[in-house]
Amino acid sequence: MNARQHELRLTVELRQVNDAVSCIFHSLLLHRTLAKFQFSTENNYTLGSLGLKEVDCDHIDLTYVRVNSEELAMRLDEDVRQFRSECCSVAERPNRPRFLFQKQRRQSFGGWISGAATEDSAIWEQWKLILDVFRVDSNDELRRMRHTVADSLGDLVLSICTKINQPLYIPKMPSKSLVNDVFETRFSDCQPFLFQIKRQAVPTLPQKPSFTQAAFQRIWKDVLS
Amino acid sequence: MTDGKADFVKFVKYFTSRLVQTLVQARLGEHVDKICTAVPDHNDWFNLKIDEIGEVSAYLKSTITKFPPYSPVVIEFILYTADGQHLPLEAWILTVNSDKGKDVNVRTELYHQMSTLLRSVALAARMTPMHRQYVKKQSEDSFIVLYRLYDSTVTSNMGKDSKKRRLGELPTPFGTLCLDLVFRTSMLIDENEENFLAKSNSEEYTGALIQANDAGVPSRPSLSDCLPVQKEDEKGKRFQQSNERRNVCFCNFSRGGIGSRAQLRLVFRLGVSTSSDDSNISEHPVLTIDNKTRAKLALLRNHSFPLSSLLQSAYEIPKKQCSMLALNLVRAAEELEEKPKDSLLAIEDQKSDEADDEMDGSQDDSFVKICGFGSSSSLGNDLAELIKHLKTAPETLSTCAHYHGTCEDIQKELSQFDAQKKEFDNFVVGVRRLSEED
Repeated sequence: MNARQHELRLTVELRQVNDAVSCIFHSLLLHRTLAKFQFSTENNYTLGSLGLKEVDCDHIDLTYVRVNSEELAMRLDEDVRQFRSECCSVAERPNRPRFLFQKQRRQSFGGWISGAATEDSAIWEQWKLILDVFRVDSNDELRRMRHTVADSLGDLVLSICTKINQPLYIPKMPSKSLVNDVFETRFSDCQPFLFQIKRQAVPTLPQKPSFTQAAFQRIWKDVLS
Repeated sequence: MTDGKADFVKFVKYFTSRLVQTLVQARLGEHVDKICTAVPDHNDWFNLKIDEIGEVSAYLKSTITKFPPYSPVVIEFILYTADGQHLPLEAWILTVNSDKGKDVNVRTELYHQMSTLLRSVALAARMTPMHRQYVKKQSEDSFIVLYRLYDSTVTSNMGKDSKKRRLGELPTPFGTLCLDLVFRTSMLIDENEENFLAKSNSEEYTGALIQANDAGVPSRPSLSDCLPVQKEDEKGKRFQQSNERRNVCFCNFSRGGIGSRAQLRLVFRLGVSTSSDDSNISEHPVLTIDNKTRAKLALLRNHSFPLSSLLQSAYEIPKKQCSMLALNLVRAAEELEEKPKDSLLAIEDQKSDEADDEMDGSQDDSFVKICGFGSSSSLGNDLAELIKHLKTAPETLSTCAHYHGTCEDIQKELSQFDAQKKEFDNFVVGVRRLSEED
């Protein structure tokens, strides 16, 4: 099965990484989480209700809503924290003020068709978040970033909503015995589809030489030849 | 109507209701914090915990008579400044177009998709420039956010840099359910920009909502039909403030009308927001009302009816009937007068106990129940006292019961009065003369 792939790109300051990644991941999970199932028989079930919680970002002028489940939030926070520490370690290196990071978030449905399905064959939706992270020293610049990143992040989340609310494939509701193959059932108050989060550093893209640089290169070539 | 179609119509109707509630509550500026529950609750449509504000429900019920798929529904948010300027900021348009989509199970698949779309709405409502720049900075001295509902796909002008997004597109066998968002990105208006609010279909057809001002010229449509999105720290003041806002709206428009269009279309400069930390409210327009007007507004505020818009919109009773209703329900009013103001606000968080009944559509599906008109303690002391006196007044007044005057009796009385008056005048003249002699 081919997984749907979506790519999201965002430029943020290092201190905004937590907010930006949390906002996007929680926004995705908000759409891919159901209320807790209560099975009465093998095929009959009832659903509870999802509660929402509003969260203010610390370094971005933005508010988002997430599923009000502390267990789910802690699960995500773990990944976000690791991701940020990796960003910091790269950003502190000299001569590398700008870098690209790639982060993959996979929502996989291991074995909802059959328990022996491999991971790759079960992935049905993939969101790739590419962050362009840099660091500013000036407070004025950081204040400006609060607004500009809020604008771009808001647009990004709106585009997520647009993409998600289409007639797209979503796994059917499983029977009681197969629910663990489709949903993450370890949370007590909600039931997201099975998902994975993967991180991957991306090397800095080679920059295209400017017109002047290209001209000098050509002159040097001519001189040397 | 087939069962699937009936379910579809019903779900779309309740989706509209929850959509409006979600959007308005997102503009209150208060943090949403609802817990997840594993136990099913029949009051929670689309498996989502959403409060139902009575005033919003009543406004929706009175304004929108036909829901999608029979008619589109638009909810529009407008920034309204203390000096009377208004600026349409965003519009959410829910329609069902006639494109036949794939065959989906309405009760399971479509219901789940609508639930997802509703969660998108809750999220997207906080991502627009309006939410970031204005919602949490509402103040009676600077600006507030109004909202209005109407049944037309034509929205107000959102400026040249407006953006439009299709947030959802859910095909069904009965048409495709579409939710569009149009929002303003530039908060500056130049003088040439048309800034009129769009009319609803019902306005165009019947003109019922367009009121003529004193000059007989139709005034700007529908702003007086907007409701404020309240934002107050003290819950007890919420509805009172709401009516205060409405009074401000009415004051401005009764004075302005179309004649002061140029004045109202002056350049709107709220500018781009600063960060929440260094926000400077003084940058925003300040209320420029003299003390006399301020005193008048205070009077209106003190004598305003909390929940009056709720009552008026829930029950479209002519004013004369309202006053009769008020007199008939004095006992209930007196009972409620003794309760603290906050008890009235319980209606805000009240939930429908009969969700299944709502689904019938034949019954009154609103949980809003009328409690005596003028039942608030903030009704105003004079009016409350008047109602008390009217209630306790005897059918016939004993002091006046014996008097049956006619025109002839009055003539006699007048002639007698004139005679006595002359006698009194002579007496006064005599007294003066004596005093002068002394």
